[in-house]
Amino acid sequence: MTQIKKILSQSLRYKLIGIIMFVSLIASSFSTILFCAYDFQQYKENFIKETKQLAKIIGDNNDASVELQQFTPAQRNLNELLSNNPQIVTGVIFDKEQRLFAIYSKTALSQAKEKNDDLYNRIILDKDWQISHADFIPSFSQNNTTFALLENFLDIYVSTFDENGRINTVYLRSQLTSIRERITTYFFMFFLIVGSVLIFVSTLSVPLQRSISKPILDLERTANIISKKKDYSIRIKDRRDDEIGLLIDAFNGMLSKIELQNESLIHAKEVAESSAKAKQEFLANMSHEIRTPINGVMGMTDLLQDTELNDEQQHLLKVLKSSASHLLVVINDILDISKIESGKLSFEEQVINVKEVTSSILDAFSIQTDQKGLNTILDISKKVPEKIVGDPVRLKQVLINLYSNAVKFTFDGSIIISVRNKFEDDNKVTLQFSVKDTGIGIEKDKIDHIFNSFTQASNETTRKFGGTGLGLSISKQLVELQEGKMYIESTVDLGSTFYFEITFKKYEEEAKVSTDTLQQNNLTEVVEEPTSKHILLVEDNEVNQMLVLRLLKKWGYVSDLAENGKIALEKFKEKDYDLILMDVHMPEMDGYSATKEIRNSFPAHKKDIPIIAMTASALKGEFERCKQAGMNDYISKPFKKDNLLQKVQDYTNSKEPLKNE
Amino acid sequence: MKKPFLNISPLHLVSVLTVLFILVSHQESRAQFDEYERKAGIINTFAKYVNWPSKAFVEDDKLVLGILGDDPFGDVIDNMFRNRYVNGRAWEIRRAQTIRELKGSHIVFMAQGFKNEEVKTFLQEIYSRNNSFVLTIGDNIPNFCKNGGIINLTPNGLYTLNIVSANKAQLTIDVKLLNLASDIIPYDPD
Repeated sequence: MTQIKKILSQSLRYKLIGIIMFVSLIASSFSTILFCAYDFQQYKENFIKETKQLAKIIGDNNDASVELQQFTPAQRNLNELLSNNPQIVTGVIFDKEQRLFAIYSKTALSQAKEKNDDLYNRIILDKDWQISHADFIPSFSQNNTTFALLENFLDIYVSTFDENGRINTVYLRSQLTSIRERITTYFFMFFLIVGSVLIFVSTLSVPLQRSISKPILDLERTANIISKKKDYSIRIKDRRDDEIGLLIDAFNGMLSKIELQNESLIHAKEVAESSAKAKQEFLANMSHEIRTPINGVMGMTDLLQDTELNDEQQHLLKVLKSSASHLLVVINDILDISKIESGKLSFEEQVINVKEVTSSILDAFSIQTDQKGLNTILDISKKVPEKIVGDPVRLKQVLINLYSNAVKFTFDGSIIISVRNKFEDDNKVTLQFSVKDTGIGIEKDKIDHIFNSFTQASNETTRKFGGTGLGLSISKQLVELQEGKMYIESTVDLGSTFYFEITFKKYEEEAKVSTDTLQQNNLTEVVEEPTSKHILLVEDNEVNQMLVLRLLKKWGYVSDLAENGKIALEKFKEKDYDLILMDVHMPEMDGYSATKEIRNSFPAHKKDIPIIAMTASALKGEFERCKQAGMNDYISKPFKKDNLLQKVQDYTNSKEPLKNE
Repeated sequence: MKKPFLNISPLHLVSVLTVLFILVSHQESRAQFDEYERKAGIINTFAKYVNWPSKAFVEDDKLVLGILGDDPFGDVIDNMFRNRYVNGRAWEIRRAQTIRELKGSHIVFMAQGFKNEEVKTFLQEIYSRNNSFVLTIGDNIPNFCKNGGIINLTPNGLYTLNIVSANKAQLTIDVKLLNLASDIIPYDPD
């Protein structure tokens, strides 16, 4: 039963065939049974009627003999009429006084026939012999009919009347052999009809059910194709007016809706992407726009420091410089976040001197820590390799973030930076950095939130201690982007420990040699006379013009100025230069175009001139763009003056000129 | 097949046969007393199975039985035929010693006691006229049919029938009566 249920629930085809078969079974059975019942009833009524007619004929034939009390003719008549009828077993005529007048008993007659024909002929008319040999003698009854199918007999009494009353009554008992044979025929007929109907229907239903199941299967197939190909432009073309047609229409309608929705989603996605792009552009522009003035502020501060100042002026200048630095940090944080969020952040692979990086951080904050009276401890395990390969800038950024936080929130006690070797194999080493402080600590329920962007432990914290709230978020993401992890242990009022782990590449010896020599070179302070090198500065910003020109002059270079790319090209045509410092964003002609022009259409000895891009766009891809345009290197604004000096020296092959400081 | 009455014990059978025997013997004993009662019934049956032409009934619809000679029935037949109908006609019984007195009768029952010649004369008298339409019944009278009578009752409830005389009298005799007749003589006295 459950098996059948399972099959039925599995296939629509079998279900349909099953239903068709079941219905036709019921219908054919019902109609056959109904027909048989009707036929049986008709046959039975006919049978009774015929028997009654026979009895009536007997009664009519024998009214005279009964009245004349001559039973011999009656006996003869009974025999004549009944002996040819194989089903009649007993026939009796009662006279008007209800006495048995004549009898025909098949059993008695057949008994006589078994003995000899002579006896048989004699006892046909012998009423008494038949009575004594009959298997049963009926008693009188009036107009009574008994149909006993199971006992296999039909008893009828038919009386004949004239105007003076009943003349005689004829009793007949008939066997029901023919009815029983007919019932057997009914059974055969039933199985024959139902069987042939079922065979016929089953052969018909297989092709017929297809008209229902096929479109559904087609629909299912199409749906599968659509979900596989993800092509929602496919439509089912079958035109039908039935429920399956409605289903197909609904399906097509749904597909149209999905298609429309997809289109609008794609559109929305494009809009979102373009707005993200616009945001990116905006950030790039902003970085340029903000960095350039800061560049000016910082550069001018540097220059101002070199002049004669009294103590108060010195102090004010210091505050100015630190404010500018802080502003730069905030802007850099915001840029970092946007870079991380847009996934445009990439990590460099450079040699990192662990001790140098960590100790430089302690040094950088030494003024603040000394002021607060904090102990600062650097604890590097002996197992930590001296040098590793990774992104020193980002490592430093994370450490500075953590350390500056520690300094900010610690008022008494100590700050410890420790480095441990967590794991090491042939190629890689995993280092655990921790910054432990004895500061105010963080409440447990806030720990999960402090890594979120723009979130500090509480708003109160923001008021009290300042900060953008981006530092920790950036740090954590920087660590995680390098496939590391950051975690924190903290107890309120006792202090916090920030841990992070990063896997670095191991530093190999050959690389060490070359970098060492390079560093040696850089560090060698061989003072050489500056052969007056000519540098063309292409820059539209007046502050930057002044700053760079003053610095170059200070370092002993001869420099010219061009306000944009167009002027630069003209000047370069007229005069030879050793180096071009090229701003990228300028009116009339930008740095990229100018560089391309030089590289493509200038004479051979001029077109290979080194060009260093100066850009405030700190975004990823900016350097690639510069390189594509044919520039040799780039320096991002605001630049440190040492940085600029080194690049200029590198590309003019001049060692550090005068050292004025 | 199960048959009712089949399992009747021999004792039962014997008792049933005994009852039947008593019934039959009783009937025979009654026959001695009721011979004419039976004969009256036979006359009634004859009347039923003989068809008179419609013109035989002129006055009213009664079927007239004339008893010729000494009445053997007494009031038995009157009691019996009162409220009895034959093919829708009531009985009327007349009694007489002469044919003339029985004019208009449809059936003439001739009692015993007449001589052969007398019988002959009576029958000739009855059938001398055309359209007499009379069924003549003789009460076991010798040569009744030979002399032109139609039905002569014989002992044991049997009878002989002269079909020629019946045809002459324009009476139609039902085949049942012909079947039951012990002897049918196509005898014409002329």
